[in-house]
Amino acid sequence: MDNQPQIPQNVNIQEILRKGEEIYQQQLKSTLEPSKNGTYVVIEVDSEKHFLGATKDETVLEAKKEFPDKILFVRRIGETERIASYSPNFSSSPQRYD
Amino acid sequence: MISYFDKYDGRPKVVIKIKGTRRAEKEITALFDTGHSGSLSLPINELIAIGAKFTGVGNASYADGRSGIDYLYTVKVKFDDIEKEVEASMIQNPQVTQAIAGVQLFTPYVALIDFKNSRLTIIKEEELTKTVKE
Repeated sequence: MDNQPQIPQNVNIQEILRKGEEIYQQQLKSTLEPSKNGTYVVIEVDSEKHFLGATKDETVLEAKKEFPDKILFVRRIGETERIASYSPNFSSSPQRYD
Repeated sequence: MISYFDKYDGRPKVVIKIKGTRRAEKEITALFDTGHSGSLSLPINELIAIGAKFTGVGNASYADGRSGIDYLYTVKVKFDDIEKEVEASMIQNPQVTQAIAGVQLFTPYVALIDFKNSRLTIIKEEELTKTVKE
């Protein structure tokens, strides 16, 4: 039984990351940085179409309206996304609240 | 919204409900992390439990300087009377079982952290204004 969330088998993750970053660097970076730093760009790498938004959630939502079944490249403009500040060994504790 | 400092480990936490493609929603506790610039990071077991749909990828960095691939899954999140669709990052270490809530999840809320009394309050801005006036 699989113990990992399903990733479609015909999707090449490394290729999406490579092409997405390439499109960003070559076509978008000079016009988006630094004025849009901190906001998000979502790229559908096959069509090279991109979407801009203030938050990751709203930008992906917008992109999914046009590409509901595509795996999208998501990037924070100007800097790499910081997704957590926790230690990788952190584990859950029981609820302890009044 | 239930928000508190966990007496066991001293960390600020919130209680939220999450839902993927499966019908049932699940109530979880999430660490409230102001260093997380996204909305939500979920452990692998939670993503499986709710049947979250894989949506996208990006590059990401951690506070300890590591970098890696950010796998994004579409998740519906509910707290108070708010339901929103967010792109949750997968926590790739299977030993990590604690979800993490970031700053983007709680807009338009205001977070009040009382370190002296170990109290976390997350309220709407209009409630804050009302509290201040009283």
